[in-house]
Amino acid sequence: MASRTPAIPLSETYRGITTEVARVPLQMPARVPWLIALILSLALLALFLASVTWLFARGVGIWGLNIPVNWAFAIHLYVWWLGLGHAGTLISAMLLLMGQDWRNSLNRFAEAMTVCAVICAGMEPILHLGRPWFLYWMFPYPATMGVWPQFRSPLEWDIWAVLTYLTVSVLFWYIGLVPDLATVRDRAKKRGWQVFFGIFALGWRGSARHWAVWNKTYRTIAAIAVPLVVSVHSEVSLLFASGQVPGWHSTIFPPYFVLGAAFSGFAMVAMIAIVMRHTFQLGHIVTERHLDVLAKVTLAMGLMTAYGYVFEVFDGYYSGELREIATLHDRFFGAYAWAYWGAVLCNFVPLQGLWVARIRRSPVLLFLISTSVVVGMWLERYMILVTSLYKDFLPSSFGYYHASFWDWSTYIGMLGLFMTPFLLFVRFLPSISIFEDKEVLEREKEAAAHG
Amino acid sequence: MSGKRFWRSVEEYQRSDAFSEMLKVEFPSIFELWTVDRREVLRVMGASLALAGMSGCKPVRSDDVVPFVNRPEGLLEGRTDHYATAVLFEGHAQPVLATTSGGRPIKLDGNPEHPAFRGGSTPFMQAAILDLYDPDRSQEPLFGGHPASWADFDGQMGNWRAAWRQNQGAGLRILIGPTTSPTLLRQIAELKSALPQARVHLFDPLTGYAGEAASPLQANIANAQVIVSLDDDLLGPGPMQATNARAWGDRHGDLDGSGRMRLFMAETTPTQTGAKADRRLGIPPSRLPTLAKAIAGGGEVTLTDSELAWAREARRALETARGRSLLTVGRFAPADLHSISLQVNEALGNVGQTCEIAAPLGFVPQAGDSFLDLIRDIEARRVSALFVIGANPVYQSPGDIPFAAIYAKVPLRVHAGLHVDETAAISNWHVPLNHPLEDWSDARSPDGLATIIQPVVRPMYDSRSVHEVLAALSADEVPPTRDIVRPTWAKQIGDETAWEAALKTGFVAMAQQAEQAAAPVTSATAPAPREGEVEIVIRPDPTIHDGSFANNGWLQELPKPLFKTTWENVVAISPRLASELKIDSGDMVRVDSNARTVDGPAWVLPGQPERVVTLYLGYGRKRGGRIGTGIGYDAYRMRNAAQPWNCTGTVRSTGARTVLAATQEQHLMDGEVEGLVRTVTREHPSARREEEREQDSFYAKWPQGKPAWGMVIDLDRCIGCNACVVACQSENNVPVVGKDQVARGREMAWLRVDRYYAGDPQDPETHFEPVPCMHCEQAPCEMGCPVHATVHSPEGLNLMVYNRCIGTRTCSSYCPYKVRRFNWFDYTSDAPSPTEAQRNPDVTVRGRGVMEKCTYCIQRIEDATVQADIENRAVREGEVKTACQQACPAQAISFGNLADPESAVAKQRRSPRNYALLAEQGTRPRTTYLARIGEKSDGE
Amino acid sequence: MAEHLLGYLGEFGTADALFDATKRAKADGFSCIDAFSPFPIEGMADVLALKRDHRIGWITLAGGIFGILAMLATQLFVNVDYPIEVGGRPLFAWPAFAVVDFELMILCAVLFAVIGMFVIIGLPRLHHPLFGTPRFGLASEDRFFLYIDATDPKFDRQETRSYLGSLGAWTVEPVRP
Repeated sequence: MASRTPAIPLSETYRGITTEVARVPLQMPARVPWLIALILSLALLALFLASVTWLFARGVGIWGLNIPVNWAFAIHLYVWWLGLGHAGTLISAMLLLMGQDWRNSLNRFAEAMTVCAVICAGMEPILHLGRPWFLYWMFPYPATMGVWPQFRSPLEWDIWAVLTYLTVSVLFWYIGLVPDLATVRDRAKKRGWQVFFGIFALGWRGSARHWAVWNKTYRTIAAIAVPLVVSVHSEVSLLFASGQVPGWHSTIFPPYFVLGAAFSGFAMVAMIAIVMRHTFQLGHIVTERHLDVLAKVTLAMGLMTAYGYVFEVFDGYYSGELREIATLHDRFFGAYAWAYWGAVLCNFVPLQGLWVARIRRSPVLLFLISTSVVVGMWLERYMILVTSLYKDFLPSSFGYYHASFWDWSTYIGMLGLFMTPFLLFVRFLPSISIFEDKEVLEREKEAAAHG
Repeated sequence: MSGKRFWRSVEEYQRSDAFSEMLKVEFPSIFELWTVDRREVLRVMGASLALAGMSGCKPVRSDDVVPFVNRPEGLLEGRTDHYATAVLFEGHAQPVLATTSGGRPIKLDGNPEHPAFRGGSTPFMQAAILDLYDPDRSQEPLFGGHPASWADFDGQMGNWRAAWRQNQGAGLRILIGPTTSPTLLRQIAELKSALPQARVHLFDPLTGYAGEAASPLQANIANAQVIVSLDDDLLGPGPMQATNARAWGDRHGDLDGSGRMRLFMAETTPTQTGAKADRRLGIPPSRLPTLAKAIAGGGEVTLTDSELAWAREARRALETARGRSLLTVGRFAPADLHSISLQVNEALGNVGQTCEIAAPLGFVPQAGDSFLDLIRDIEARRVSALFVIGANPVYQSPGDIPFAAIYAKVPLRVHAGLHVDETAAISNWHVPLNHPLEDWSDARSPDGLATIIQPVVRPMYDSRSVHEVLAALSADEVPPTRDIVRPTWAKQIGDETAWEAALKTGFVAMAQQAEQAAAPVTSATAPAPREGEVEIVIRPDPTIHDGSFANNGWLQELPKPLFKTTWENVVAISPRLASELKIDSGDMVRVDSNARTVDGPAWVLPGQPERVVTLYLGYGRKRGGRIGTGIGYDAYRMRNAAQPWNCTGTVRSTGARTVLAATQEQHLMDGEVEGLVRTVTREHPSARREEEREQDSFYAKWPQGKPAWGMVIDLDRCIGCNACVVACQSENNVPVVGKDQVARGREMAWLRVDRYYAGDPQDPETHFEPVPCMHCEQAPCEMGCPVHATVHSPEGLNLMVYNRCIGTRTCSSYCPYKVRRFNWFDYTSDAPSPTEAQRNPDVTVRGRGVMEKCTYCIQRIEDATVQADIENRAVREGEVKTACQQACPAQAISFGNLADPESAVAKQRRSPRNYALLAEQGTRPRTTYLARIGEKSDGE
Repeated sequence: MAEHLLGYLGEFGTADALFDATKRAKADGFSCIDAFSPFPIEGMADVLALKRDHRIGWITLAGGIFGILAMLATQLFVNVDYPIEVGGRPLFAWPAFAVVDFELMILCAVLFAVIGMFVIIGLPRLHHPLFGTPRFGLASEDRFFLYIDATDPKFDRQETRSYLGSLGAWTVEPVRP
């Protein structure tokens, strides 16, 4: 979709972009709000550490888990966090390959968001272990007893998937960052900053040779990252689909999960974009058009997710499986119906607003809608987990799950684990791709010149 | 050295050489650890504490104790010794085989040689071992609640004896709990001759306070083809549970034609017997006599159609099986019903066939010596000294007798018991008694045989046997208990070889006393309720019984067979009454009778007669030990001395609500569960569904090692008694986790007995289904484990490798049967000492964060395999018995080698009744079920 | 003034200017030249004849193949080394193995690509003579530079300096070590 309205206003200059973006790390514009945010997230982080300490001291029993519902918060949040992460990769990688210029103002912090989210996601399954200190048993190393990991287990798949995904996201984000680090390095006045950015810029000189090789690599990784995202979340879904539990045991799960992930992820990106745009006055670079496109993509993803919902229902009835249908009814009317209808409500009702251009371009409304989507997907993951587990096969072992204080404190604390590194990133690194925006501007200028 | 004094000085004892010495003797393995790894020792310190608690008990190897030498089928040699002895239940002997390891008794099982018990056991027999290690047992004499010594007591005793010698024991009263011990009976007789003025009263809250004798008819259901039971819970808790269940098992399952027993049950509140009956009838107590008359064919009766129909059919059935039928009446039913049953059975010629007229086995006070008479005498200041021996009247007296106050009027109050209980608390003196497993004694099992109780461990504490205490009342010099017991048998078992034989086999044939029925004292029949009132039925608790098991963690956490609640007693009310009162299970209700009230959580009990409310005894203890105290409500307060089992009153909701720790949601059968428990008829015995033909698999079959272990559970035989559950807990060191954890759905039982209802809630079918690990051949759990912590053995076991488990819990999420249990916390390290001493050394004690589950008792399999290898042969059929199988009194569980077509399991697998749980899941379970045989099958 | 000289750095105002300059320099036979810009300039690669460099692609491919083979080998090995039945599944459960194989393929492909890139472009190299020239810092902002190396056969101290000027460079600076 070659854009009529330019992503970057032609009035912008290269220097303008540089100063606008590079000033953020060098002389922070919005110190106060940033500090407040940082303090808040550090407080959350402290809560997280406290909860984890207690968790390791006493055992996972401090959570509301039981038999049958022996997976809940830790696992459904794992899925949720990972989902948020995916949009980052999709935005940078897929849109890069599709040559969507508008992406360039968003991809950098979207990627950073991915990294933070994946860290949180990776944390969850570890915390959820009965004996986390033996995590390393999941890796193939010559153990004294001669035992090895079990590669048929979806959990084994997951750990490799998350590991790969984390590494790739970090690398992709970093090499994309190097040229801009060089820019900031050259702008830096204070010695300390010069050294700091100097080191991380690795001595980038912007030579044509650098650019040529860099371009190839960057695009190659991008090309690889897209299938990676799909595979990672498909795997996550297999963690459930591989079990016999009614409500899990379904072939629609992989696409269903991937779409849901992208859905929540784009919503998350929109939220962050709006906040940053507002606090750092980046209105020229993250333009209304960016919001508009983000909104469109979110809407599209949302509709596809909705299709997943519909198909799941069809699937249940079509199977004719007594228990599948029972689980389905249980989702509609059972003890956890609030989670199901909550998910439907938050995910799809406000979403419809995005059909209207005015709403798409209104930061406030878009922010609210995105928030409701993120909440909605939270509920959906919870619903998929708990409503399937609490009533599976033998009525004698049906049992309810109630989240305990520590369930919540661990989760809410983890928001701190997510926000803190992200805040540090926007404070100390160019959170918007300088050179790519210049590239866009260059192209736009060309286009403008030749009619 | 008394255990108590010891515990004050653990540390220094730990350091002392004596300790290492003792370790070297008791626990060579631990001694090595001691020398090697300090931390390990700290971990096992519990056990060492226990040892020390047993005052460094040397294993009982004194010659006078005789081990069970001839190895019974299925019991394993090598690691352990077995002693034939008995534990007591309501004073009756429950013959057991005690397994000891390193001098510690670690398990009790029914004595396989015993003609009546034949190896069967009950939850209470299984759990008795935990009472031995009860950390709250009384450990030293108390005077006015303060530690004293036996020397002090003996000194006092000397003075009292002197006084009694003067006045022939005037004013001396003994209140003794139910007992069948020939020696004790002898001692009582001797005492009476020595001190003619002294009187001995019986305190038996389960037979009644007025001194009624039990039913004159001793049912022997083994020969019965038709049983009509009037509120007689044959298969429920009681001294005869194991024997009845065995007879039941023999008459159920795969039988050719006539052998099957047909059971009619009319019950005032649902029981296990009712659950298994072919024709069940719920009836309020006030109508029970009428029903009895109807069966006896006596005169014009007013009954509802259904009751009449039931009565007619029952009568017809009794007629058709003359001499092979039995009309039995519950021990709690009014006495005139007993006389009716006597007439009917005599008329039908059943007496001598399916029942005996037997003299009571236990101690029966002579007329005028009932508990009530004692009260009267105390009020009349005729009692100067009261010795309460093995009874707890302060807790167990009926509500209309303020015994605590009355007791206080006695100048000298002495209590002898295992615990410092409610009675001990207000006695001048309390002296600790030995646990039956700690000293010599004897007792009679309900079938009439006697068992000489030999100690399997030296007394842990500074306690004495009941015989010593009683002897001291008249004799200056008290011989060791053995020398008190031995003379009782001098006549019958003269020479020592016979004596040893008796000890080995664990029972002694005993001449039945004169064949005369003890005339039952007439107790009032259940009063009819007035308008707006409900009938109140009072029963012993299904697991805590009369309260004597209140401090037993296994029994507290054992789900009650019908409610599946734990850790407290409930108020059972009928579904109709519940909806009338707008209450649900868990709502607190207030039961009001004779101006006395109790508040308890309601439990809506399908099958409960409409306007009947059932209260359960045994809870609301004030001094029941660390876990038995202050839980549940005290139903004794609602009893009346004259009519202990029934009264009338009102019930209403208090509006409060409580969380019940139930291991199973209340659940009527519907589409979801259809097919889980199956019923077939004798005519059409096929339980297997058409669609359940073994589906093909994508995967090549793994080479099947020999033997191929498998289990078959016969639902037709299972009576839901839970013996298997406690046996499993005892064998496999399954921890007790407490009410809170159970309420959160974290009970640890490896084997559970599911209870399902079908049909009309007012008169449902009740089904029991024991569910251990299915050991699926294509186990979803194994597939899910990322670290190979649960894998498959060539012999078909689904192995759980605790020390490899990292606690992802994927296995449990994937398990369709939800038989896996997870250590959410560290459940084991804080177990009170000395309970650790009970732990089975052959089974790993699981730590925090690992999954666990039924292993088919792999330790027993391994023992047998090793034995077989030594003898260079294959493991024999029946050589391996799982704990649950061994305990099952109804023989409902069989285990063995499926690869051997001749093995019992293989045969049962071929039975048309055989079906797999959730077969459609394609898990191919090694544990399968035999459908229940009913008069109509599921569909109909 | 015989001090050592590495080359000349000419500064241009726009990407196009640099592009044309570079083209002409190439045409005029300069071979040891390099262009510096704040962002990649389309076509610059062809001009400097870097287009035909496919090493990254091959490296990535190699990484992928290495990853998938390594993991597959591991999976097969562990099941041979400690063969044990799991849920009745075969020892070599190909579909199950494929998942992790795929992940490892991606992981190694990316790692190889990134490392390969740095090796090829000779980074990290924290100091470089170019950083010594005052105006070079603008290369990362909005200026474009053409660098002609002294080792170039056509290089001449005076000529080349004015040549750069003739290409339209705003400033020409000598690059010294």
